[in-house]
Amino acid sequence: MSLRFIQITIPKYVLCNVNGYDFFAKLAGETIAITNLEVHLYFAECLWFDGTLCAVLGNILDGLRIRNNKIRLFDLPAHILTTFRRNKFLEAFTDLSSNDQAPLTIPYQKFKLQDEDRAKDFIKKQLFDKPDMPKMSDEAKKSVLVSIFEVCVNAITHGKCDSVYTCGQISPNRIPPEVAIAFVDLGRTIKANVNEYLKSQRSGNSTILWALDEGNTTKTGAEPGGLGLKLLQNLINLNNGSLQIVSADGFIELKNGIFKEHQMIDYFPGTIVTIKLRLGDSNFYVLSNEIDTDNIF
Amino acid sequence: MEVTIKDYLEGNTALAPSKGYPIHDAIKQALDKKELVYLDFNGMELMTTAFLNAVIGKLYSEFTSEYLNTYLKIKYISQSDVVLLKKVIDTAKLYFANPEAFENHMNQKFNNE
Repeated sequence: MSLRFIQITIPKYVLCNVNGYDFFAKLAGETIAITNLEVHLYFAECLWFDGTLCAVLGNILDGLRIRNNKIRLFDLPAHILTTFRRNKFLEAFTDLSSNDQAPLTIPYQKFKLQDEDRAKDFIKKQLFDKPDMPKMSDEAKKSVLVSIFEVCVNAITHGKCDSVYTCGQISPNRIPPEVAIAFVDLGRTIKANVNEYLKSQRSGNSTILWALDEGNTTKTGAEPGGLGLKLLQNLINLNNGSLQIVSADGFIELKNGIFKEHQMIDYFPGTIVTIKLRLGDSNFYVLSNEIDTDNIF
Repeated sequence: MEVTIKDYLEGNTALAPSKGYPIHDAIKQALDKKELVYLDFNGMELMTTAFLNAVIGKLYSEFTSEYLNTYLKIKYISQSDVVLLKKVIDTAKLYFANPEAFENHMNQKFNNE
């Protein structure tokens, strides 16, 4: 007996913008309770799908699969098929595999809390060991990695979820070269955490801005926090990159040192963090004065 | 007493706060007995502020700055990690000087923006 199915049409453009994130919010919301179905995704109308957003689609589809649904992708246009093949998204959700070297992608990947060394080695290798990558000092590489993992840890610990999904795209031929990478979790939203902590009813945007402020944390007990997202902001500002955070009905974008608030129509039941960094060594970090460890406390 | 961070981990990466709690407990136990503790960062490749908060930030709820400067010494930390550590320490000092006032200040600052 064949399974019942639902049909989902992928829109014309799936980009890292409010329309793209609204699509995922709607998709996640509409499919969150689905079990024992075939889920058919139709790409015939889709003209562009940002590769980094495979992290979001993958997280939603993986959840569906865990709830005993079967995923099928239809009518993938050739260029999207190539993207999905190269970033290994295709082999995660179909029987098709690929031996492409994928020099310009950070492949679709899922990490659990206990995968710390694997996650670090994966991102380090995928981000820095590519041909045509601009040379960067070890300290610059490290500052990028620390900032990226502050986001992952934030997602897992505050989202109270067990996995983070990631995918990225490298553009070495842009001037300057850049990398875009997304991290996604379908755990507790920033809005839920902050409002519970502050006993407030702030909007999604307001809670994200609160979480981005240095020293603010929803951790309770004898443990301070709230530095991770600030570090990431500092890196983004120094680097002239950009940061997007989507959670619940909030969507905040940091670019050129300015926060922009976007209005989401739908509610994303988790958190998406998309980072764009310019590659190369200049402005990646600021060397501080020597700090004396003898009297550091 | 020497507390080598790497001995408490399976590799050279420390991201999650949960990895820091056993290290914090070992340091606290020794400090409670007024033992001199050398915290050794040798071999560590990557640490987050979330981890460092769990290891060190938390100590400010239990000991004074003077006490920590006397009994806790740092060994083999890289210059970039010491910058992170200093940020963690500065935030912890502010936080534990008066946690309620710190939180009120942060909320007020936010509400005024």
